[in-house]
Amino acid sequence: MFKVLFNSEIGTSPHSSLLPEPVLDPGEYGYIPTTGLTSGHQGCTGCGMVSSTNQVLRALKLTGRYVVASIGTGCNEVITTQNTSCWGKVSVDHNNFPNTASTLSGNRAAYEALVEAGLLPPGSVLNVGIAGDGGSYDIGLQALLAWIARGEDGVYICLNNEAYMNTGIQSSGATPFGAKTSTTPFGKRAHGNPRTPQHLPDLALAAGARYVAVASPVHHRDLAIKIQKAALIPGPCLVECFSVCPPGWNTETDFFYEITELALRTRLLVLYEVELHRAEGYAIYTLNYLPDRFLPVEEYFKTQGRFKNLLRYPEMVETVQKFVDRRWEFWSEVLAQNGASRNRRDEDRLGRAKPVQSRL
Amino acid sequence: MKQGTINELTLRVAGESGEGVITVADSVCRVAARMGLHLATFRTFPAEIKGGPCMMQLRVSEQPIFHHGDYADVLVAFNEEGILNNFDSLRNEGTLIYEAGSDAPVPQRKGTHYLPIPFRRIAVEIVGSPGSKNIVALGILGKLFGLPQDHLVKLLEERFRRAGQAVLDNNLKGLHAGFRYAEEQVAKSQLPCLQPTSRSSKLLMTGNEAAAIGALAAGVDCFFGYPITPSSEIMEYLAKNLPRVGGRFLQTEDEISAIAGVCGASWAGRRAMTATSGPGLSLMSEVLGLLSMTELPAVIVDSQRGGPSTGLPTKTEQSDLLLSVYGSHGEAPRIVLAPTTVRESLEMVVLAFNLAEKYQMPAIVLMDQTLSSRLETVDADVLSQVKILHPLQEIGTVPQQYRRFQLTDSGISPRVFPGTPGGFEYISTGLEHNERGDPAYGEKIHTIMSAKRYKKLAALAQDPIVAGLASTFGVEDAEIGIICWGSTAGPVREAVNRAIKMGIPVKAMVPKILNPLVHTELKPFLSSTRKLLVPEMNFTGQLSTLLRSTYLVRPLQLNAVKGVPFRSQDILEKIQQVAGRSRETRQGSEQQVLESLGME
Repeated sequence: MFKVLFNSEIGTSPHSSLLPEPVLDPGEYGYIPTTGLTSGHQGCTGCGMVSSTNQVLRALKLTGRYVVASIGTGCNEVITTQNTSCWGKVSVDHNNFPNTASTLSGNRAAYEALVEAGLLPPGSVLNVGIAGDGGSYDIGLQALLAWIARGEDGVYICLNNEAYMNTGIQSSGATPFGAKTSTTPFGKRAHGNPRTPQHLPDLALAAGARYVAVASPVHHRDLAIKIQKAALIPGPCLVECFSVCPPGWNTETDFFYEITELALRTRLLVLYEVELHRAEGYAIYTLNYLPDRFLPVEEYFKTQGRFKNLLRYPEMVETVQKFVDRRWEFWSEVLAQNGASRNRRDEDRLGRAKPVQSRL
Repeated sequence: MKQGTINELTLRVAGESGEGVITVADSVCRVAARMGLHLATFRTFPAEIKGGPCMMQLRVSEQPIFHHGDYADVLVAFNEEGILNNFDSLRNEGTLIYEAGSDAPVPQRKGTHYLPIPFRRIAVEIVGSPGSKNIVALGILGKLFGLPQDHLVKLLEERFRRAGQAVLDNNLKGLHAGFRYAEEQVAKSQLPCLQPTSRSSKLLMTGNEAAAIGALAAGVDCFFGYPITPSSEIMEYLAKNLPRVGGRFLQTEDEISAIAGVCGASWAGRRAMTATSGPGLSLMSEVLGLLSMTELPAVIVDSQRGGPSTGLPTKTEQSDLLLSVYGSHGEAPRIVLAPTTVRESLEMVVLAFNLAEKYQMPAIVLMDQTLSSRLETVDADVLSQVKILHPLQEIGTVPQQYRRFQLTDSGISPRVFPGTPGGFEYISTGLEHNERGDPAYGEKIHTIMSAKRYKKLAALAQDPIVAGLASTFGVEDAEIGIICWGSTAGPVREAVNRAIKMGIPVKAMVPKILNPLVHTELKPFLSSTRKLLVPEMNFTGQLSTLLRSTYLVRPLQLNAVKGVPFRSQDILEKIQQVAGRSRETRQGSEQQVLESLGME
């Protein structure tokens, strides 16, 4: 494994210092994408995933490279491609459920061959793979980890809504402990999902991803920077987007912002990024968002029907709270070493601090 | 429409998904089932996750029915799209009930009755929320069709009890508002009427539920699954109910893992199954070969959907037959069963367990989206008639001489479970092996063992259980014979009845075991048939292919890949054409493609 280093130990991160300012002034482009997806998507009201995809695409288009997307089966594929394509000037390769990352490899290989043959200029194409949590944590994991291990250049986005929403809310490898889904019911014997979910960013790091980040569509600027960083860093990079799903999580549809904010304040969701220098044997962790106050996990659970039954079992809630507290020990260390993190959501386009207006 | 028919009704309800369309139709179904009537339904799903057009059709009858009906007597449309998409499915003399007050154009047709009802206005005025319009509609329909009010009230109580008294009260208010409106404002006129029968009420279940209940009835110990439309409900049902009876439910990370889990559990001596759809079966096909090679029982339910690849996830098709029979590299024998009704889905899963265990090979139950999602009444005696067989094989008394793959007359070898005391250990391997199970690739051994594995299939074809696995109907000495499989049997049965009434003698046979296809009744049927017609919901004619290669016959094909099941009218027209009673009607481009491929 690698040694965890902190920014304070090595000065600025070698990767970051090489990068240009990620979000460029749109004025520099003739073609200014103000939005990623074009109109006509069929997502449910309050879908966090549509917002994620939209912002991811916008950030990618702003790099000025031609985007070639390999997308796995799932909600995102269904709602952005049916009847009308919402992808605009993006070539989309929809493949089968298990092989988003493998097809991404194929796309990349073909592009490299075209460059070698002199048919395309180098650096003109950006290969991106987009899949949901089912397609990344479960059926697509083998392909994803193998793609990372091969070290090819590309960006993989996991839109994590924590279950198989497309087929009727079945649990996935990303479903939280104690959540009710149609395959993890609540009853006398079963108490929702018995597993603590695996954490894809950790798996990706272990496989050797160069850059790994967790983002949320509510934190626009943070998300855009992460996506563009992933696009610029050579090698396999992975960004996971936390995507609220009102029908699957059984929440109000206009509660998207608040739920994400509660996830952050209860520290169930941590926005961070890691740059891995595998050959040198170290990784740099950066915490991107520090909530102004912490809340107990119940506050997050109370907002969602999928946790309604869980709240009846205080010992299960306690288990989650302990897990969160233990995990935060690591992040307190990162904080102590790196100093107060910058809160990118509260910055304007030029990185200046903006007054915070919380709705909570 | 016949004037005021009693206990004969085909009702179609259409609207936006999420408007409660399905609730209305489903409630009518449940009340009809409690009245002891026979019932079959058909529903479509939007491809979208939320919203999009949806429709449910139900047919009620006093006589047993096999099909959800070609045309609706009554169409209830909640929105403009519902009218436009479904108007063609309304009988000429049928009744269109639609939302009054919307300025949407309503297609006009002579003979059709129009009944505009302000569902939305009633819901807003009386209940105070437009969302209750479906319950208002249920009240109105209940009154119009003469459904007993207390049944409807009880149903709503059951449905909304857990949602709280306030929700229930609101719904009851809506229901009574519907009753009152129908009583005061709508002339009863020509609508069909449903009356309670003396028969006891029936069970109401979907094909998926039936398959899951069948698995429980067969004593399934372990279920491994991965979500896939349209078979996910089987998994969801067993996730809830299998642990209650001491079984193990496991959701795996993909279909390969699901079938491999079944393989492991089966090797350890437990009854195990999985359920999937076409894309999942494709992934499973390697392990299907392993199961054939290691001679382990397994049950796989495949609810077929439109393919290839992701295809039409929410639509129906019968295109996995050849994959089921031949899928996997090498030559891997397996059993393929095809139920035609919801009741048979239950029975076939039980049978699949019995046969798989007896013949030690995987058994695939081929359902399809139509069958999986259709609600049908099933007689309450179905579970008492299920037979579970646990065939035992003589394992001999000297453990040192135990041979797992012993050559026998039937090809079936003694199966010992791991952990049996006394030195019965053996290696279970996907490599070709000798009688003891040790890998061996000698010159003769592959031939001998291949023959052994196929011998079991030959033995199965002679098994008395299989003899009853075909239904025959129609005129016995007719020249025109139809062979069909799976859910197509419903419309075929109707079409045959209608053709006979029109004076065209025709007979039909529905084999319910498709591999092995060597069937004692199939040969005489084929030899007495001069014109063989095979209707299938696939493009190339997969059963025709099997029949052609097995029996050297030249079937006339009727293929459709529209994503919706056949209407009996489609089949009737083909029968008329084959009988020379009508001119060529299907001269579409798909027909020309088939002809150019050398198929009829």
